[in-house]
Amino acid sequence: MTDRRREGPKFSMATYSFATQTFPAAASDALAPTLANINGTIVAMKIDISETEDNITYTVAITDANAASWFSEASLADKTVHWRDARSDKNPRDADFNPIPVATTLTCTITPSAAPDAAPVGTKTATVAVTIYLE
Amino acid sequence: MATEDRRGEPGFPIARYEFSQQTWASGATAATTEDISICGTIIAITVKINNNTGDATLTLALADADAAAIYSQAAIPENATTPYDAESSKSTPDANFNPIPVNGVITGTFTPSGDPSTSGMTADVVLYVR
Repeated sequence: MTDRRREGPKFSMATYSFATQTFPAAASDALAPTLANINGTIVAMKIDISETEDNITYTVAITDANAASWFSEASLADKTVHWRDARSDKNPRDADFNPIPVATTLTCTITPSAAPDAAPVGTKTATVAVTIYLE
Repeated sequence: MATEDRRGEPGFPIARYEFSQQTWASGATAATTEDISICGTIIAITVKINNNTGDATLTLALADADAAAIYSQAAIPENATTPYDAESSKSTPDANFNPIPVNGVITGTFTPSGDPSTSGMTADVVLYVR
């Protein structure tokens, strides 16, 4: 977490990272880290997915304390740092999601499409790290 | 000019971050990189390239500390200072890229399209940050 917004406009952008999640080689259960006391507007998101033995994908969803679903994207490839932004002006690349106002706890649910190393069963785990950018 | 960030003072809402001048001698074609630390939103970029005898253009790429690709622009022309803008209103020229949130070190990668020949090549890249 790097949030110095209280120090003035020189530090207008804050970043918060959900705890990096490690997925066991042979399990496909969703994991759901949380961030408490988040306040601001999410204007971008970074999803860093490690290489997986079975080339699985992930679904990442962001919900608030009332279970309101603010963001969800499926089929996120492994071995990639995905960048998603919420702002787009006239006619560049479309934004990936709308700015998300937050004044509460956030939950990031990360669901693998399958076990990372299950066919045949191996030992290679996988990680997913999600960072949000807040104004 | 050089980097100037006075956003902490009233009346200075935009900061200017400048990479050091990138240079390539005749025959040089390798990409160069430089890190810069920024907190805010990149809303414009200008790129100045000299008039080089090899007519080389530039590809500029920005990535964050996790290697997330946050910006890329190819074929930036020589013999010009070219502005790229992230903001556009109705009936003005379109924006060139989406505003880029940053908070920490980003890496600029500067790749010439080819040999700049006898003149060599220079590139001056400025980031405007709100």
